[in-house]
Amino acid sequence: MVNLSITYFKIREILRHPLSLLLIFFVPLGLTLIVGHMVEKGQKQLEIPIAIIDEDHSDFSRLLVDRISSQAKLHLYKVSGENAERMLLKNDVDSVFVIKKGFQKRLLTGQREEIIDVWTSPSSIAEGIVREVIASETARLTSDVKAADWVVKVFKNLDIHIDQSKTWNAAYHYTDSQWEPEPLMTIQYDQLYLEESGEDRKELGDSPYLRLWTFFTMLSCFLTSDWIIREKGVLFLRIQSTYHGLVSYLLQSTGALFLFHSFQTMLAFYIFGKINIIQMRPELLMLMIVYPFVCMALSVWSASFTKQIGSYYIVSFLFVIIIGILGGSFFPVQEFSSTLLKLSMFFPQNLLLSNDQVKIHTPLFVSGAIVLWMLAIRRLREKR
Amino acid sequence: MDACDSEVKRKAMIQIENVSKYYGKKPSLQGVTLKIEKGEVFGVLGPNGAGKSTLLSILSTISKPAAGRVEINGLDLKKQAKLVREQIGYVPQDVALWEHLTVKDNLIFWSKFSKQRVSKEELYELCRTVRLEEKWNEKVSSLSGGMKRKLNIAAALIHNPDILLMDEPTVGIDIQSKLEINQYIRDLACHGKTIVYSTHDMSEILSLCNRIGVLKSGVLQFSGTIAEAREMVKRKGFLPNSDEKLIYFLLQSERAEKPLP
Repeated sequence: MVNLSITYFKIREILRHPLSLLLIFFVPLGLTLIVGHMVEKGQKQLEIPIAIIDEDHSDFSRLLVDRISSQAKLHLYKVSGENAERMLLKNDVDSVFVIKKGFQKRLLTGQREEIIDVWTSPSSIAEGIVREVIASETARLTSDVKAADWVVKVFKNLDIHIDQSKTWNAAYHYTDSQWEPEPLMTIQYDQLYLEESGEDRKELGDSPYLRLWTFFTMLSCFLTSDWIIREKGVLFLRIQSTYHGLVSYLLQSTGALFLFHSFQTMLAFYIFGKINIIQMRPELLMLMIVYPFVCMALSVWSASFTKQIGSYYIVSFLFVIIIGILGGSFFPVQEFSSTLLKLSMFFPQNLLLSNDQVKIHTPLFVSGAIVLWMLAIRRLREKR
Repeated sequence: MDACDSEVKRKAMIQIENVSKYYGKKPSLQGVTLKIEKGEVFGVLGPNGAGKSTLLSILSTISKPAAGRVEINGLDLKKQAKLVREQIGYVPQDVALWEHLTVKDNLIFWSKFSKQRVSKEELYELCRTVRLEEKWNEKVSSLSGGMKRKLNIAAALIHNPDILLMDEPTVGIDIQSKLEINQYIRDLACHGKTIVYSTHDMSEILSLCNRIGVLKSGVLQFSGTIAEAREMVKRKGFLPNSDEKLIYFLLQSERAEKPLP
């Protein structure tokens, strides 16, 4: 019968030490939720600052300014010409748009050219996008006016007597309403995209949470493997002279740690599922449990090479960050080039963050991890 | 130290035959042959790098000899290493304890490594024997160097081994603790434990050991009693006026003669 008393003792020790529990549970789970929330919030708050000068002070120019203000990705400053210039020079705004005098008058006469000026600086990066937004709003006003003019003209041609002002206004508002909630004939890019691969993409790390979880879990595995450095001197030496020996100790100690990491993973799976970050499918849970197994193998293997605890922390941190970047823990690095796509296949994050076309089979990762474990144990037995 | 000689039956507990060990190309032990009997305190002497720790690491199954044969209580060390481990208690040169755990938890944890179950009461009794019962619930990190050394020895005795392999167990501690530990070792020998004791301290050798083995550059220069050493040195024409000088001579001289079996 297998004697698991070392495992029980290790489990009890981990439970008794708040720092261990903090490293196992808070680092991967807590930090993922906190940082993930901040990243998501940051993404939502990403707005382009622009300044707008209204020289016309007409109904149309005010309407245009209001509509631009309501754009989610734009932060609008309504300023005078002098202030706008200063803000642009200080890079407080990306670009400045000037609604020129006579804006309304020219729109009503069907002229769209040179009604808005744009000031940019060498560091303006989003001017093109903002120009499109403003052009779209201007086009809306122009088309509304054109449509209203045309309706009045039709009635006039048909010799039908109408209240021209009322008809013009009715036609204008009707045309304008065609832009709500979005312009007619808008292509449903997002909808088509989700219809094709919506379910899968939810699991492929579109959300920052799962990506960050892979990073923090790996970091936690490395930090909780530091006991190997502390004990591999004299303690391992003595353990090797005992009946159960070093191999049993290493397997049972890492086994106890793996139990905690698995529990953390299950908790993460449950929480992420409940807040709709992932789909709660058993296959995904299995992959999520394999992930800390692979990470632990990497950390134990790396610990078997390191002598000093300080250098272990430094090397581990750098190692986890590099693997995190190349594996896609922070951003979808595989989208940058085909080389990175191929390279990312060999990192453990691949288990969770990639789609089937670029996925190395899970058994290969598990086998690789077992080989690393064996190499680490061999090294720890031999190098004292 | 010979007071308890008659109480124990003489039996070869450790038999080392022509054992060699190399680290890379450098020899650490060369053709060492030695026999250690039950109840004996055998002192291993030698300068730094002489091979004392290597010999102890082979006897404690931590490393394997490159050549030769070792028998521990009739068991072949190479083939029956696991069974041998139940017969030995190894006290390493440095304190091998979990500093963040209490004395009690350290003993409990070390007991998990042995084959047999050891009760908490037995562990407390062991703790009492080394006079650490008052520190039972205290963390090892709060103990003095001498106390840690005592606990280090106690941890090797949890499974009641017949053979105790001690690699400089009193290095760096105060004289009072050293005397206490030495007395404890004598008591263990009187109770039939076989002790292999490596040290630099000549006074410890003289007060503790029944027999000594002198290693130099991995070669066993001499093995036998102090009286035998004196005889041998005398034959070489050197007349030391103290035992310390005798041992000093043994450490300095080249291989004196064929080691005694």
